[in-house]
Amino acid sequence: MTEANGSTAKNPKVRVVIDGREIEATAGAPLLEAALDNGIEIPHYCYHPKLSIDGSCRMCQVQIQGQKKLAIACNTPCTEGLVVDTRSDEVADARRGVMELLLVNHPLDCPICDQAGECYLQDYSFEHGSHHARTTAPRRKGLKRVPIGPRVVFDQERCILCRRCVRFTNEISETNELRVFGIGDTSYIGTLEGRPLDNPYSVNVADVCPVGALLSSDFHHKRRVWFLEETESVCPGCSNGCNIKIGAFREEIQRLVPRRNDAVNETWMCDAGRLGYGFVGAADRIREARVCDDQGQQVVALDAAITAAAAALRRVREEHGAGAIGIVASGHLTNEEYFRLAGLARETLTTVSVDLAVPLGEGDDFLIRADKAANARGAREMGLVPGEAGRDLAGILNAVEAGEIRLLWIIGSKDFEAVVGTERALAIAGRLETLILQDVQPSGLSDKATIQLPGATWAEKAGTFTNYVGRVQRIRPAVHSPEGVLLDGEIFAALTGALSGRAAVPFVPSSVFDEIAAAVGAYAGLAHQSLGGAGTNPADVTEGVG
Amino acid sequence: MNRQVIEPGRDVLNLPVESLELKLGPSHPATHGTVRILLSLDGERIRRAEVEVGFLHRGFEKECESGLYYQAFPYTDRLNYVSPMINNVGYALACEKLFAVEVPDRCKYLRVIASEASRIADHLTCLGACALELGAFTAFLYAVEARESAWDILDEMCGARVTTNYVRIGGLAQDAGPEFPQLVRAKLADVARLLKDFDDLLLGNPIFRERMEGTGALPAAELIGLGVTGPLLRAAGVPYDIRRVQPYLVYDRLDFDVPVGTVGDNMDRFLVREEEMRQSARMIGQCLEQMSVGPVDIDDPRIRLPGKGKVFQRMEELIAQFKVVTEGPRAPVGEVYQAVEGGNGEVGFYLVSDGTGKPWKCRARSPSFSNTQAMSRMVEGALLADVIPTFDMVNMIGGECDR
Amino acid sequence: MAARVVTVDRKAVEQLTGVLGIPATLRGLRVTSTHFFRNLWGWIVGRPQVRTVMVPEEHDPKPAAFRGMPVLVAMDNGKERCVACGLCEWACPVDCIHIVPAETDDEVERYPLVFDIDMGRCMYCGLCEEACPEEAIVMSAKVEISAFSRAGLLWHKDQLLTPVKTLERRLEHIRNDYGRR
Repeated sequence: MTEANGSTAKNPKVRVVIDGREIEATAGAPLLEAALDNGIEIPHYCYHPKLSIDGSCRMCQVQIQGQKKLAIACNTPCTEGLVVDTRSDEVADARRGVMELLLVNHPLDCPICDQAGECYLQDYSFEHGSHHARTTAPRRKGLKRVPIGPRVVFDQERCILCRRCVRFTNEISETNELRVFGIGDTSYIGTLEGRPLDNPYSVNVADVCPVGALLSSDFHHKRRVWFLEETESVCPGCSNGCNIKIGAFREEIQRLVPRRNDAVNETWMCDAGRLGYGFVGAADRIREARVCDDQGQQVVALDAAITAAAAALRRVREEHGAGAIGIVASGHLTNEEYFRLAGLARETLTTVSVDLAVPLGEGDDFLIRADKAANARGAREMGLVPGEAGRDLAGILNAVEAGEIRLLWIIGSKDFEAVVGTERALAIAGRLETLILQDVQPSGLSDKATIQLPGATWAEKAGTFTNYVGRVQRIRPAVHSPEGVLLDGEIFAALTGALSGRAAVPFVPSSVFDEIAAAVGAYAGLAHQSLGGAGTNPADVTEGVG
Repeated sequence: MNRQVIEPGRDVLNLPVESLELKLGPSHPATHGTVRILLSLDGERIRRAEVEVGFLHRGFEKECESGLYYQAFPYTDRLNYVSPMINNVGYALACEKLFAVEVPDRCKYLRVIASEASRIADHLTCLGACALELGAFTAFLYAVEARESAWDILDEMCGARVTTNYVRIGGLAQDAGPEFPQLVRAKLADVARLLKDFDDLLLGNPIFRERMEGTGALPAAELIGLGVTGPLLRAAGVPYDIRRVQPYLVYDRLDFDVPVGTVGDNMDRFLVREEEMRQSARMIGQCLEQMSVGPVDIDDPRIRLPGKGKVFQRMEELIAQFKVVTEGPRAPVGEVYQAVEGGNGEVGFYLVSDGTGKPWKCRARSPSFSNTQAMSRMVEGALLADVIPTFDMVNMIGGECDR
Repeated sequence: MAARVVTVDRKAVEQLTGVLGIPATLRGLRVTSTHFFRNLWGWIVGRPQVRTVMVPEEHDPKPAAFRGMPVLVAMDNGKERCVACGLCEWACPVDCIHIVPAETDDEVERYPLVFDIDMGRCMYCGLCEEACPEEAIVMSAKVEISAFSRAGLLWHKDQLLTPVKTLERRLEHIRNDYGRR
């Protein structure tokens, strides 16, 4: 039975007063968690919302009414009527004391340490520390720049022994590489001989590390965080849809970091996803449109290529019928783009040979899905399916080999090649009259294209992805597409216009999403504005919970 | 823009007469500063004058909004660029009012010395340029040489003569060494000597007096109505000097005179400025005597950088350096206004803070802007030649007027 | 003590002019003549009263506080002291500094792979020097930096590196906390 305040037998709520402000907390939950969730800042190092309680840093000490000594908020369970003071002189003194002890042995590494700008030591020292060092004694020496794993760098001198990283490898990745060696004053974090920090989630320890002791090798010495423009988006590495922030500087992506979403990825992301942004700025990225003539592929303006593509599609349809056209897309476009593409296929081209090519890989029971497409489910729900009496991927391949399909339009040929196999893909390409490729990355088929259109990446688009359980999440553009490269949805709009003889309808993702909400049952009632930062599971919407 | 069409009139022989529309500026050898004065002339007589400003607008206020508080100091230099320290001081005082901190005494004295030395440079430029534009080239060169000495004082204090960037929130960029008082006194002696030559050449000269006396006057009530402040207002007899009526820094501990005029014409303005220079030299002398050894900055690493010596060796100070440089001193939410007496009048800074390290709004109250709008009234009905000395005495500094 | 208000003396000016303006004219002529003959005599006897500084071959000595263009300190081994911390890049109000940090194999693990200053934008304010925690960027005494093209005003790391020996005076000034000690 649920009480009026949301309290249930399993989840009883209690009232706690912090600094004179009454908040509602779950009974037994850590006091620190309740405070942070209500926007009350209590400094802390070893506490992490998704890791077990450590209680070692002593930074979150607060004054509990009725207790003589200060208590650590992370290990104080919320009980009814708890009254807490976080602003007393004694608390301020305790924080100053903890800060001083932490900094006494801390190396003066700020100028060379990547953590500057998002360092808990810097932030709390400035807010709660004393600002005047009382000693210039030499700091203890330790190992620096240890490649503790293939993607993580460790600096022993900067470590404050909060042990978040150890708890991560114990409780989250469950690989137990990191442990504390030594005792007391001589403790240090390390790995066992021959067992480096190498698991699919290893770089998360750099996120949890509050200082610059554990750092991502990929971001090591790359760019100061004050210069980064951070954009909220979703990782395109697989269909899990981990929430991320893209950090960019001057139109180049510098890093991806996870964003908290308790329903999807908590506060984590896998290493493959984290490091999977290189293709956006790669030197060999397809940035130019090409059209084949007698002498082979020539670089042309994008307009000319789109015109040529429209002309080819129209000619094949008129001469050989809609059944001679096939469309195969990868799983990386947005819902809005799939909606337009499905409309183009179904209504303008009236072709029913439409399918996805999605490579499968390794998955696990945590965050990594075998389905490596960011938006395969969304594609299906937008209507990118073989129509009535249509051909699926296998059917399309057979039809090409049989000579029935003469024009194949592949969006994302790298995935196509991975799914179909290079040998067969090349054979397919050879069998076709016309091959239209719309790509970001080059593949084995790139120089076989009759018409090559440059595509855009997820980091350049506004739109939505639907993850494998149906959660609809927004992505936002972090960088601009290269000069002269249109977004895929804009290419679809231009082609629709050219083929239908009408002016192209501008591709505006939020408007397209409104159409989707009206047309697709599972998306009814949703809009870009309402999706918020955490996305929405349509299942929640149909149950009446916004 | 209300530009009235002047009806062509008729003269004594009943011949049709039209006004001559003359654009004085924005590039004009006799107007120092970029401004256009649209004159509607009837022969040599001005029927209407309209002043157009904005040619030097560089977006100072917008620029302040996109940077942290301490990054605005180089921009304040470029407001009244002939007396840059005064702008620095004004902005710093406004920030310190916002942050609710007070600087140590030595800092206050040095700021006053800097302000007054800047004022001397400002007035020398104004008077010298006035002489130049009336044709007295030699007097101009003497004034400029005297200005060199004033600039040498500024150079010694901060390392630059015009783009000084000397003052910081909670202190100063540099302290003055033990040889400083001696150098200042020597330079002030140079200025006094050259000022004497300047006077001898110019003041009694009948041509000079003919151009300056009786020209460009406006009644004090009208000046106040137009928002005019500074030497222009004092020349008309109103003893409004912020250093006197709302003393800031250490002006209440100094003994100085505020010169006022009687008629408010260009000659009064000239004499007021001359006297102010002498008073500035007096004030600097008093400051050098009253100043004692001590700290020049507040000791609060959340607002003022801790100092290189400490940053190289101490952890907490290194962290403070990083935080202050990257996030800036964080002001409490609020708004303040602080005015100082600039070379041309009341220089005010109105700061609105939203609690972050960047000002939400930084409005600069520019004395030149209000003074220049009085210009059109001052030359109405005057001769064309009167525009020059009037404009010189208004001393519109483009950087300050247009920001 | 409140400042006194005094009225300027117009009568004194009248007296300076004198009859028909002749005393004023003579006084003015006396000023210029005095200067002229003093300078002439000084030139004749070899003790010139008028200083002419033959710039750029000669320069007036500048105070230790003088702010010329920012340069990078090169240590005795020729390497920069800069560790590409990025504070100067951030402090610069006009964004004229561009740094690309990189890793080294030396004891100091970070250095600037690219360190560009756009001297066309630099306004010699010195905020970069103030921000630097390493004494790596300092305001030299150099101000003559003209170039034949805009691109020539973009100074790269190799152009900015200046031997530490030539910057001792400025470094001393900084170490004394800009004249505080």
